Amino acid sequence: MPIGYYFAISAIMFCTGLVGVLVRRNVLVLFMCVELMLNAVNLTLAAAARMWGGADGQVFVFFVIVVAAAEVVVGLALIVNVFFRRGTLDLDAPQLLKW
Amino acid sequence: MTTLLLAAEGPAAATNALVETTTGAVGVAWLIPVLPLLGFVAVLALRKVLGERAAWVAIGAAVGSFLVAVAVALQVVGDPATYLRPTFTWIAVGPLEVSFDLLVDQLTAVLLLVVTGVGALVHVYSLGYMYGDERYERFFAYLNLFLFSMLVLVLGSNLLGLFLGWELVGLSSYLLIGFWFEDMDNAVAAKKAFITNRVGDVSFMVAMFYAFSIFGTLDFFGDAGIVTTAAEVLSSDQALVLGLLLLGGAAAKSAQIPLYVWLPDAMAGPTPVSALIHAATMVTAGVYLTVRLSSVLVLSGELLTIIAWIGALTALLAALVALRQDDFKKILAYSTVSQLGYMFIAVGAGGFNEGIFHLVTHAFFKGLLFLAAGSVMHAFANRTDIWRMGGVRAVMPITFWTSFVAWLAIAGVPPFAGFFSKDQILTITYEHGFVGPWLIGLVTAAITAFYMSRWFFLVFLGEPRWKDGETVVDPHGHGETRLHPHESPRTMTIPLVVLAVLSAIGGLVLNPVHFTGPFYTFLDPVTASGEFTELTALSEPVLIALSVVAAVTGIALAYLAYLRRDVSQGRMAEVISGLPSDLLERKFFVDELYETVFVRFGGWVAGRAAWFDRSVLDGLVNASGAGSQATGRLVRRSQSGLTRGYLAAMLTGTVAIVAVLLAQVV
Repeated sequence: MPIGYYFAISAIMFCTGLVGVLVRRNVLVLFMCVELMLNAVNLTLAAAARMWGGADGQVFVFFVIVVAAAEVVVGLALIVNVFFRRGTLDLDAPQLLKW
Repeated sequence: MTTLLLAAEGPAAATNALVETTTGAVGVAWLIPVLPLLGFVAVLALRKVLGERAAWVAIGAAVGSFLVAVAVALQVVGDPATYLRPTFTWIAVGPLEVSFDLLVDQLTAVLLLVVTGVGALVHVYSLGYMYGDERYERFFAYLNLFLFSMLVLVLGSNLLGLFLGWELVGLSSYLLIGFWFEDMDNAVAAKKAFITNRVGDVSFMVAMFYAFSIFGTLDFFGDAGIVTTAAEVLSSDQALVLGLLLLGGAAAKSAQIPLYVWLPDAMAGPTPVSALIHAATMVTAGVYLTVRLSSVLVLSGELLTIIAWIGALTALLAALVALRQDDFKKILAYSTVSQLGYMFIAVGAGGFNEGIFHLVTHAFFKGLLFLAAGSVMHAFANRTDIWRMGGVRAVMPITFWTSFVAWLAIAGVPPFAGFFSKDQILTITYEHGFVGPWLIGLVTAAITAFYMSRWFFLVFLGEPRWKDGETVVDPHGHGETRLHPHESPRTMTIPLVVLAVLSAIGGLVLNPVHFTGPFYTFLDPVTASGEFTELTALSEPVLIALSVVAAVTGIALAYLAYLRRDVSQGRMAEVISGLPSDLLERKFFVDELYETVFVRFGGWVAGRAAWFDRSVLDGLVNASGAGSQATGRLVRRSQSGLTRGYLAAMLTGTVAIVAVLLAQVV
């Protein structure tokens, strides 16, 4: 399979995630979209590593997965707390930073 | 005559050795200023507990200080040298190192005795004079503070130490002049004295900067000391600049043209203050400063001429104004300005020893005159108009006789103290070739004799122009009292008698013969001698005769004008009338001139400057603030609080950065 296919799928996944982040209001969904973007990047890295036959990209993928796991823990904890406090996960509801 | 001059200015003049010591009387010289300081603190702290007895604490401090001063002076007399009593380093910044060391030499010893001696007498006098005042204890605290300040000034071993005392003296003078501050006039007079002195202080400070830039130190003595090395280091022009700056400071403290205006107004203070500060001690600080730095002054002939002329003009102007004053403290005030003028004539003519001699005798007789005036005021419910006195002799014998001595002393009648000092000033002025100041001084001597006789005759002799038992309104607002003049209590008369004895014999004992008298030879090692073109056309006996003639003429004229004629109509009986009289009565309109030039015009300039500051300078600052605020109001719109907005912005930014980077790569 030509490498371009991998890149194309990766790009589609990334853009899907990006659009989701920008248009969805539910924090949980937003969070999932971020994961989608991360994994799009992971796909690119893995494909490219395979293409060059080096291990650098694959190692990097593992880093990203580990960091993502940590991020998920923190992020979910935040989300749960926000939900308990505000009773909603609507991203537009709390506008505490508004001028 | 030539031999006398040789004795004065020949190489025979001894110089002092510099001795650092922490033993002997000089070793405890620090007690002299510290005792009054402790007294000040103690009286203020304990005045509620001790009540009137607090005055005795203050008197004890003053007398103790005097006794230590006597011990120190005896050591200096026995073993003449410039003693340095090391204490501690005050300021040490880079090359500037200022110590608090105490300096004791012949000049200091003389001033220590005068300051603490007259100071102690005034303390005792105030015991009676201020009795019953609601701030009785505080008055004594202030007196002690003043003594401390003056002693710091005299004992300072460098310009900054002297300046510290100089400023403290200004402060305590302010406090004492405005002691009865409930009366607006007194508060205004205190402010006037303070501000006028500030003008001189600026000049003094610039002098210090200048001296430091040349000498690299502010010390008087030592390896690089100003007094020690002035002759080698300073050029004539530098000496002129430094001397003029110092003169600016000295003229303010010692009430010389053009800064004398504060002294007559300072009479608003209680009379003991006038005696202590404005006759005997503080006003002599300027003379002390110039004599201390005499080795700088003698380097510039122009400088000396300027000083002599300032002194002469001040002496003449003040004496003329004194001719037509009706307030008997004002007469004494102008007389003080005039006598200080004599001291500056002496300094300008290079007669530093004579200047200090006159300082000492003047402290005796002028202190006495003020205290006597206070005694009369005490008896007359604070009345000060000489036209409403007369015949006081009969009711106040001690005050009368002591004033009699003081009058003869200031008029220059031999053998009283003032005769010797004034005559020696005139002699040295003539012999050093300052003919102009000498002539003015001689004329002023006659005028002095005249106005002091007018003062004496109108107050003490003649028919009373008051009635026993008449109702008077106290000018200090203590209500109405019945006039019943009586001799003052003993606490007041004893200081009078002591000062009267000193005024009578002080000159005769200290320096009866000009260049070989004990006072002259005592002081000679610490004063510099300059080079002058000597005038010998008139010999010393002729000069002496001339000053006696001047004194006698003045007294005789005053006798004809005020004692032989009928003066019962008061002011109408004045001999001088018309325009000159008005001119004198209004003090040559100097106060009005200053009011216009400095207060009005200066106030106008200050107002414009304040406007410039407020609208232009502050405007710039405020504009930058307002600008930031406006920018903030504009920019804060971007903070929408919408998380997705921020995300979109992040995305846009990232894309933009990547696009730029790609564009560079491609």
